[in-house]
Amino acid sequence: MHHHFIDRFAMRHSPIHRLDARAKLLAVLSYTVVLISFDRYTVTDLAPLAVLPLALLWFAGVPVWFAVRRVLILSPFILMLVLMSPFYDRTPQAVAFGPWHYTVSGGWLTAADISIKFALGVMALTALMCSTRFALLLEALRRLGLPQVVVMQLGFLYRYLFVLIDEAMRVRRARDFRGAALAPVGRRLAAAGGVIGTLFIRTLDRSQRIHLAMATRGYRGEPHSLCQLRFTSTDVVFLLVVALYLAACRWGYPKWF
Amino acid sequence: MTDIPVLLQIDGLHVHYADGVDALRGVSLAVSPAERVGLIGPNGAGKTTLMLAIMNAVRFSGRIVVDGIAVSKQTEQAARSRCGMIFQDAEDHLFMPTLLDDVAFGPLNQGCGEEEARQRAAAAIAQVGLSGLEERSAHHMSGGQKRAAALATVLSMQVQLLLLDEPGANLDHRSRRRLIETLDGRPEAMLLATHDLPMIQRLCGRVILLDQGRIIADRPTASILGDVALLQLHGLVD
Repeated sequence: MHHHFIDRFAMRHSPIHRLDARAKLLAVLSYTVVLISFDRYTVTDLAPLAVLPLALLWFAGVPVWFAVRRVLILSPFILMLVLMSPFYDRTPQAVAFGPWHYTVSGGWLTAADISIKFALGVMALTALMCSTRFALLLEALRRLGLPQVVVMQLGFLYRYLFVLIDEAMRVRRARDFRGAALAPVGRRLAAAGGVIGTLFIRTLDRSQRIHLAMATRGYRGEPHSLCQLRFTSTDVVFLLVVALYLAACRWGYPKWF
Repeated sequence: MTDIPVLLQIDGLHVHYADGVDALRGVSLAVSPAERVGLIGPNGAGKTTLMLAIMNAVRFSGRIVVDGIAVSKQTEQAARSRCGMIFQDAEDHLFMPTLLDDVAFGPLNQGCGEEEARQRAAAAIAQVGLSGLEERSAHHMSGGQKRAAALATVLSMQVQLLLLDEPGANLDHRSRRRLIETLDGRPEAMLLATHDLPMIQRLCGRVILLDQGRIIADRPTASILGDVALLQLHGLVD
């Protein structure tokens, strides 16, 4: 399994890639806050919020299908919520989109609201991840005040998540190659427990080896980074544009129609 | 008779693990500056434990002196700034988000300023032939590049003794050859633990054979590698 899943496109060069990681991070965070601040029945008001993630993706040279695939891959996490909404809320709600007016049950609006917010949020995050190297993102988080220990944990997660997934796949393959699929359910469950136990022990062993590698290179609890961030006037302009855009989306949009 | 300078001196080293295993039993040896010593022996002979003891990463009894510093809890930072150990699995060695950060990790912990650390890191990366990959993360590197990167992480610390644990493991022929060429040009003393006898032959002037925590033989490379009966007896050749 490859890290391309996370940071594909991040090493490219584009106007969005050149922006300071802090500016992009603040923009996406603000965007997310504004996105979730909308009432669940005001689905049509979310339409202008599609502009920012799409613009970021376009200027960063990231294909929209790539972000859409991420949305689809992650969609099972909200699927149950979306499917159950129409059953819980049957209150009739009036919906207006420009000159068109409809009446639908509140549950369907909630389902649409969750889906749209989820899709837009994931697309904005994808745009951020695809236009910012992870090391710069970590440094941005650190400079923006996230505790050092959390930043380090995120760094280790990024570094070793796929090493762990690869190990899990190797163990699973070894199990499958010995006819696990033919075994009765009880034995398969026992084998699954064995796989999880093996992975846990391997992870523990690896963490000890990593700590040893850090200690032998003089680590005493103070992590350092040579990542350099430069906040320029372009970043200020970018943040101002995003702020104006978000303000317009939040407070200006309904009055435009 | 002139005194031969000693960089590493080990006397009566014992390591006893909590599970009851005596990993090292009375090991004594000395390594001179710039000397390259091969460490061979079957699995479980104590090769890695010996290196960990030098880095004060396992509890030991006996005496280890690195560049005049007797290794202990109090002196481990000073001792570690003179020795660099490279682990068998390069994945364990490369834990920072970029190669540059990984290679600068040691110098920054040694107290170097950012600029000096950056220069040292760039130089070490160039020495192992990875220039241009400074911003790359370890998971975007091949196995050979990871091994070279791991070597760069200790070269940047400007150590005097390299402890290399199976440096050629899992490398293809070309990557292994490059690694040998890189190591061959190094001025540091080396303790090279491996099953790769041709690598030992190419790099080391002296070989120590360990088995069951004891030194079985400590002789010039040609003498040990030419002693087929000895190697067979300890499971190193068929």
